[in-house]
Amino acid sequence: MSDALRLIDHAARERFRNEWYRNFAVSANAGSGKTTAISERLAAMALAPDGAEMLRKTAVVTFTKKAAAQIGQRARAVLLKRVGTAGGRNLAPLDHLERAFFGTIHSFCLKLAQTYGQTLGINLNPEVVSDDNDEALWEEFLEQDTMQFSSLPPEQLTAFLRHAPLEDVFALARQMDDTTARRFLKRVPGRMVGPDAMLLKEILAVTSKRKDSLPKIAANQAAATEWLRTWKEETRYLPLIDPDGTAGGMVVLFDRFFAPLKNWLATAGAVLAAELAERYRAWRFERGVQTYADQIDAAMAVLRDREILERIRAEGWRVILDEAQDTDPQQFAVLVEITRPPGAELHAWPDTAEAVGPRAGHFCLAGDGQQAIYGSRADIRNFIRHTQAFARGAGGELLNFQVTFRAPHAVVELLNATLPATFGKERPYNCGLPPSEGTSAPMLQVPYEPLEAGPLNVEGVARRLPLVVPPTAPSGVDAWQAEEIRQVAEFFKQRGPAGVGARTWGEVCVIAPRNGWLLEARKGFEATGLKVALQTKKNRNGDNPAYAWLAGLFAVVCDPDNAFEWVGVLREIFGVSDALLAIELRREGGGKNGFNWDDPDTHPEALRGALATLRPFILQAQDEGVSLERFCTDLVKATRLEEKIWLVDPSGGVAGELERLLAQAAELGLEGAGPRDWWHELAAHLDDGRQAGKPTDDAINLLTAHSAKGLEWPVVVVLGLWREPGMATAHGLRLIPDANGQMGVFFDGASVPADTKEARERERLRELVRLLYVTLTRPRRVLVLPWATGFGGKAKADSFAALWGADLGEIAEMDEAELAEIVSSSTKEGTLEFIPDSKTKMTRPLRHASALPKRVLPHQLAHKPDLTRLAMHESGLDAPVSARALADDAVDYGLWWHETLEFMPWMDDQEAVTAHGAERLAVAKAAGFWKRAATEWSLWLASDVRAELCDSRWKRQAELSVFAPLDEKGWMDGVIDLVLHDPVAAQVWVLDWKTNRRRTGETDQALLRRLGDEYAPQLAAYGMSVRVFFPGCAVRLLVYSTAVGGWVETVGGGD
Amino acid sequence: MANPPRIELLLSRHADTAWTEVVRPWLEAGRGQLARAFVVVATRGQAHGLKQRCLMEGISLLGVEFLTPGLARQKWRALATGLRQVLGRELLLLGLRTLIARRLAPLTIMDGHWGFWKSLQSDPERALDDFDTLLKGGFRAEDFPLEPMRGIFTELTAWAEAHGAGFASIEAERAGLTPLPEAAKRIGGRLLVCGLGAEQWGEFFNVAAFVRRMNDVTVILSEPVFRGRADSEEKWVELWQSLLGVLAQPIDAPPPAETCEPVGALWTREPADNATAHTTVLVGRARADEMVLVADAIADRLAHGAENIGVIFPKADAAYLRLCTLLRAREVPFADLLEGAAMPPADVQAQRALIAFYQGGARIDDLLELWPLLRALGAGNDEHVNLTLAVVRRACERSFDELHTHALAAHVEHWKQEEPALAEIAEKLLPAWTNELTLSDALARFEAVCASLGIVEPEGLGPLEAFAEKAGEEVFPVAVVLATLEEFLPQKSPPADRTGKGVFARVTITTRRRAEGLAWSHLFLTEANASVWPDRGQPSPWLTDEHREELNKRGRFTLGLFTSEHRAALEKEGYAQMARDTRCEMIFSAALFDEENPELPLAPNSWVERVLWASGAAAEAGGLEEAFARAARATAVGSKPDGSDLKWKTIWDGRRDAGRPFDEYFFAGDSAMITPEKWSARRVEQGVQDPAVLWFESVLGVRRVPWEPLVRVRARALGQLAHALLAEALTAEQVGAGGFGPLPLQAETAEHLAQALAAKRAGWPADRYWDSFHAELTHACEVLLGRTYEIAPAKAFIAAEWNIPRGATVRCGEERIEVGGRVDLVLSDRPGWRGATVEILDFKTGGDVKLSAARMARDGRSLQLALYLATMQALGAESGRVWMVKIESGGTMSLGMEELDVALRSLMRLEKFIESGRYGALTADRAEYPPYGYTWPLACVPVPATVLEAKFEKTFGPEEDINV
Ligand code: SF4
Repeated sequence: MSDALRLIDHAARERFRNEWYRNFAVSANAGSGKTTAISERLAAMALAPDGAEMLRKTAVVTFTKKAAAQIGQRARAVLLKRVGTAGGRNLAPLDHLERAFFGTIHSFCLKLAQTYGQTLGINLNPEVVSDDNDEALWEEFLEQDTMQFSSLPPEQLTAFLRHAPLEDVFALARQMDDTTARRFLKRVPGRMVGPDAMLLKEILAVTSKRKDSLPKIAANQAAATEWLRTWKEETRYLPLIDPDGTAGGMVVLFDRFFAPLKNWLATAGAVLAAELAERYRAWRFERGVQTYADQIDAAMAVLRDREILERIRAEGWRVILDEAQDTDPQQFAVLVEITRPPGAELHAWPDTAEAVGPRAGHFCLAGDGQQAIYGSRADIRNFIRHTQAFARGAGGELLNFQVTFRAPHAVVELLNATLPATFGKERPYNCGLPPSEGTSAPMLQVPYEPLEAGPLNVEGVARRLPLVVPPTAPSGVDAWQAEEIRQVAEFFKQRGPAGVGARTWGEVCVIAPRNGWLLEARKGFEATGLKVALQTKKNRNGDNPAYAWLAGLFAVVCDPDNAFEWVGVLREIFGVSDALLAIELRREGGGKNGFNWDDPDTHPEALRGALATLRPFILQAQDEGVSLERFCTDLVKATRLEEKIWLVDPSGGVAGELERLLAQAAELGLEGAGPRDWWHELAAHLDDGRQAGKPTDDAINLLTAHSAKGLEWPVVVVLGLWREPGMATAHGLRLIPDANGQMGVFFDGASVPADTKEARERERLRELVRLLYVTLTRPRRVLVLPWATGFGGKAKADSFAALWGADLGEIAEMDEAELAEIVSSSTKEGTLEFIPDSKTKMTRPLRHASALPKRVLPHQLAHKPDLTRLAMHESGLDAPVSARALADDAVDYGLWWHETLEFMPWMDDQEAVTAHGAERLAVAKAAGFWKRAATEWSLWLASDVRAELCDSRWKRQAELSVFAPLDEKGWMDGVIDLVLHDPVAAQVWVLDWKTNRRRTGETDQALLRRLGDEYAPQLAAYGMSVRVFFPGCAVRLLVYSTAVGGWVETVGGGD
Repeated sequence: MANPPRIELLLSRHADTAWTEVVRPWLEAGRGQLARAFVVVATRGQAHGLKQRCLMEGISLLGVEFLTPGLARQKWRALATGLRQVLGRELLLLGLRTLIARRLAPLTIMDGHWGFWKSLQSDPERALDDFDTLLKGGFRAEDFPLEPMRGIFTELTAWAEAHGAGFASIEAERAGLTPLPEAAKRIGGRLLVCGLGAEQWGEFFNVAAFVRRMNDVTVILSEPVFRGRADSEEKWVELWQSLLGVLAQPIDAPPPAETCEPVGALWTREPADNATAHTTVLVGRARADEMVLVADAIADRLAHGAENIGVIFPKADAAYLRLCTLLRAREVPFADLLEGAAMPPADVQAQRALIAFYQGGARIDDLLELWPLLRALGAGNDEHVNLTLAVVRRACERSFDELHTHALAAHVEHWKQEEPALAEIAEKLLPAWTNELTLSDALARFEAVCASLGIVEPEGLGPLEAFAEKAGEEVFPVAVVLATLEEFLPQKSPPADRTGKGVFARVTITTRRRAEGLAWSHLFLTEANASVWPDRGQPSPWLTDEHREELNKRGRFTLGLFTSEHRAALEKEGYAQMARDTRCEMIFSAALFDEENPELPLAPNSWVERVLWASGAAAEAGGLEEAFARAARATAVGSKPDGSDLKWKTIWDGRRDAGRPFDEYFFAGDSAMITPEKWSARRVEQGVQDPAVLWFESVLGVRRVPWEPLVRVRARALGQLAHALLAEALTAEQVGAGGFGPLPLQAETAEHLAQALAAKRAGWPADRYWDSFHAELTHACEVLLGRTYEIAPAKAFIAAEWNIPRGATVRCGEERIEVGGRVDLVLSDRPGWRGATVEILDFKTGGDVKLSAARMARDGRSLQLALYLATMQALGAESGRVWMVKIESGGTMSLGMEELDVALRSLMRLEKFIESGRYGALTADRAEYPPYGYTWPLACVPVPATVLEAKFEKTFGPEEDINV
């Protein structure tokens, strides 16, 4: 790199890349190429002399599996490039890289546990359930739980249940983690505290000058009096009450009246919830499942066991942690602790000055506090603590990557000018509450790091899309939102992509902090005729035609009595008119009886065809041997679903979904699943969200700020700058962290102390500021800010605009000419290019290479397959026979018989024969068919057949494989049970053992005749092939029935 | 020994050399003799490949049998003496699971070991695999590094012994290591062992035991590539040398003229010049595209005379099935060595569902799973066959709402009245199995329940039955027994479609292991980036890599236990060997996107990366990812099938056309033929808000059958119970609900209510949940009862849960419509309604609803209450009010008869529907959070609410604002 192009953070980048023997914390601005930096560091490690050893114990952990894999892949690319440039040939460093661990922090913790922690008492084989997916699990737990509680004394429990249903603690229990639960269990409240009786006096003293308020005041006074009386004098169920109306400050008075009781109830509820939470945890373990919180608990167990921790430390693990700002503090601790030297005191670093940090070169973290937007699981304070330690030189060094390779100069300027204040001390919410009166408030926001544009970043612009405040103000925030969307859509429509500085709509991304706003935007944009790709997981599966139609079809195929679903399928997929459906249902006697699918002819044409199409599928929906893949493809074909899908969506997006679903069905079918299993699968995921369509050139991308993190677009439009990203209101008992992060339980919103509320609110705002930062740092060329002062009505204190604090009205409006210029001067973006259609020609095989002869497997030739033979033949592994067929034919027994005769001592004395028999019968006994074996063995010993076969004229060979041409077209591939050759008489006999059971009432003769018929083709094939080897010999084909103890010559056996 | 065995150990670098120099001459040597000879190969893939080569070269074989190690085991075991019976995997698991359960029984989660045993309990399969690995590596149970594992597997060994059984691997090791005594029975004849590599180390002793029983042995191994250190392949050769007692001889033959060796070396060693000369990379945009590219390329190579194409899949998956379909469509014959699968027989499906039912502890949700199968099989009883899933589901829902439990046993009593056939089936299924039982008991129970339900008796349980007999009175935990039973029932069947099975063809679809050691002309490595290559796997916690390394230091055998590192190296070497054995071309295929995750491009795997790099494609494209993306092709999969003949599209578009009124294709029909005779008040209320409800439920008379799990909704249960209890208490003195009787004194009613509540409580489990529920219910009932008496006039007559009698009509425009429904409570000043003053009470136990005529007129909410009052009026009531009675303070609101005119204005909509026969829909767009509005059948793709509104207006004209 020439000096002129040298980045201002060049030195930092070089050091991070090359000095892999030191620890660094990298604070990386948005777009500063952190992933690449980590990849390069890894490449350097791989090239080091002891790279192989080092990487074997190196873990690269980050937020998602994909992201981790991407780092690995990039590192390999870097390496290949380096090897190539050096003209080298040694690819061994690549092998080293393959040994490193790339994955999520969860999977790494699990790996640690599985490798070292078998004795920790944790779940080593968890099935992970996501937090929003444990509904059914929770339900099952509740049902199986004893619902007895010992954590509270019985009288207190009764007191609690007098005022609140037990169910009120359920939600709390479900979300409470182990540590919190254990803490609450230690805080059993004392005796029940009642309402503040003194306050009743204040309530009763209330009067009002407004006459019309008096009745309500009086009623409230009476209610409070009555409540207190009941509480004191009776024992029955008594829920807390709210005042009717607000007159006379009743709300506050009631709150104060009930406050002591509510606090008591909250404390008691917390204990009950904790007890239940602990039981739920045990129960989950019992069931073998783990939640997110359990995973963290499991990781912590590694740290709790000193011996194991030391063992891990001794192995010298190296950790590179990406997205450190979003890492759960407890898991963070695991990563830090395993890289500290053996003997280091747990949790001492970085807070204790003299504590040793991670070993040099063993721990690196990369992240950006400004982009910490997952406060619910991570704790930004933890990140700050660690980076500050590195900044002090404790444990390593802090490096800053200021240069962004993304943000255009204009945006960099705007942000550097405005954001320092947004992140600064002046904003009260950036600080915490003063710890005590008179002390100064601690700064809790991460500092803003000025951005520096990279050498290749474009000049770009940040412009205001002027909104117009409508003459009559829309009523309500949703209407305002719709209005903004309408105006933006109109603007887009009029100016086209170039009007916002994009080549195509695909270069444009509209970002909003909340999903709901985007759903609205989709509606609004689509109404204007704009195409959108809503890239959130909020596209309901069930709304996609491919999904909906398949779900409907499988619903009726699996439950053909379901008239409701039939109606859907018939009208939607077959286009039957509703009028006809109504008449036909009435004719059939109403919805209860449904349609007569089994006899479609009873219905008029339009309906008949549809029912006749589906009837065969209904009939075979549980048939053996039906593969789900075939079933689905046939069903799709029969209903012409594919054609319909293309008609509905010519872009191919829905066809892609169909493709995906069919692949999923095929995959499932390979496990033996049938239509019903797939229907369950479809039904279970109906409400799941899926990314809608792939981003395409002609669709505007819609993303939430959260999902936009880590991504970039040429043009970014920020929606709803004026609007407050509200938060869900909670009901009932709630678990809330106080200013220090300690969890507390409160009875309701009113019982949360003011400073806790305030601390929480400030924290929320700080995170919103960071979310704003993420949003504003996404564009590569143009930042578009739809704005008009006064839009949205009264200014909202925690809207993005208010938090930002920049004077948005001052920002220049969008200028068509300027933007057109920007577009034309921009180089084409490196979007993936696809060649639309296959360039590989469809060549019909010319069959230069001749087709191969047919393989004839004689055991499959018989009218009834010879299952025993199948099981013994190499090719048989190809055709696993259904268990039922196997059982019918008693293959085990067949195998036993064949084996017995395979090693028959033909020419030995009686003693040898008896010994052989005894040995074989012992085997039969163990296998559970001794009786049959003994009978048939003695039949055999006594039979004439045996006598004849023992004749000394024969050369015998049992189990003789034959692989030989049968005729022009085929080769036989089989094994003959027994071949006898008399070279003198020029005779060859071919004999097959058959262990088929006698049918009820079947005579010996009938059985032999049946076997002779059934197996004639098989024997005939043997005969034909044998002739090749014994030219000139007469061949006889014989079938021996073990049940009869005699044989039969098959027809067509002669020459 | 009379005839000292002839023994030869040969090394070859290429499969082709091995064939021409050794295999082919060996096969031809036995021609024309009536004698047996065996070829032992690693997998059936090699057997198939070698036979195919014989066929292509016209070599017929007599008496040559191809054996995989598994088949070889059967052969020598049949002759060996002093062998112990071995238990199948299912039975060993039975033992292991039982032992684990015993360890767990006395422990609680507080005990340190609990976690270990729980973890093992959830993963006995892998633990058993590890044990097997251990045995095969020359170790024994006592070598397990983890103490508890040592303990439990020593115990398992003893357990097996107690049942007279040994372990296959130990027996094989003994047989393989012990020279045969002179007199021992031999199989005799010639044996060729080929294509076995170090990966088959686990089968070594088994094959060795076979070798010892033959008298003419030729073994060909692949020649290890010298890598400067003794690796597994070298140890493997040494092992054979010491078994056979001869030195390995390299085959002295020139290397084949053509080979793709360099591309293999690129992955395992270093790049040679021109490493990718014979290499092609196909990249599809998605897997489906990839398969089209592969199919086209196969057809293309065949057209150009390719002789023997191998197509390797990582496993049988959707892409594999897809390629089969594509090849069939192109009429390319192929041999398919992968296992497809299909459903097992319906009876087995039912048996498995039965087991699942008992595993779950006899729950109603599992009964719902079982039900359709029973019906399809025509099993059960006659009446039951007529009970549709919908009926059963509804019965379950009703009883569940009251019982809050999934345990079937609790529901049976409830069903006896309403659905006796269902109760009867349930009784056949019950009781749930006891905690512990003997195997014979379990088998008998299972067979009995199958018999009673008319499911064919389970087959194929022979070994289990035999074992059960041996196990006698030994009891096993029920979960273990059920898991074992389940394992004995097949999960799948072979598919009925047998294309590609048991045939020879120039194209062979196979797997890596099955393709090794054969000479291919072209080799496809498909789905190259579907998983990580090489696969290092994650060893189980029971025998980790670290454990393995430790053990190897003191093992008896050089190969010992493979670590993931070893396995990865072997896999890589295997692939490289295949490249060496491939003559003309190696073709990698991969996909840029995964169907499940269409937003993130996939990366090439590490071999393909090197290919892109060595070929210069990466440099040209400016990076690996770029080169890979650039190579991606969307294929003809994207071409649109022709649906132009479909009239259907017009209908579809019409339904979504905002400018078109609702017509016969959208919830409309001939009003003379479709108008219901009677309307439910509740439906009418819902229907004036969204006529779709009326269309489905009233006009068509169909109802959705839910499939969602049954989840307790306490509020609903509370409401239903409160209603029922109040009705019961208020009418206790009468001959049953419905008719009018005198309102009893409040004290009496309270007394009755208390009794009814107590009776309920007695029926529920004695726990805190039900205590709490009962307290709340009591509270609700008492408050509502109190309010009732506040409203009731003196000397009132009462009817509870009163069904509106037939003939009660309400004016709807010019006509009158008949309305039905059930009213919570009617209070009248006389015993009847004619000329009476009535008070209609509707109890609300939750929700924040308001009652006002104006509101009702505007949006129809709570309209059913007005309809009740109107029917009363129609039946002759003189005057009256309808009351909404709530628990909250200030919670009683009412509406008088005089307000009906206003309140019923929203019926105007219904009037239009009836008159025109058009209903249409006004279903709201599905919001992110419930409530969602009316749920249409699954197949119906939602029509946006804005379109529906426009159509509605188009159909019925603009509605005048109802401002009252
Ligand atoms: S968000 Fe992505 S591009 Fe930006 S710094 Fe982080 S990893 Fe790099």
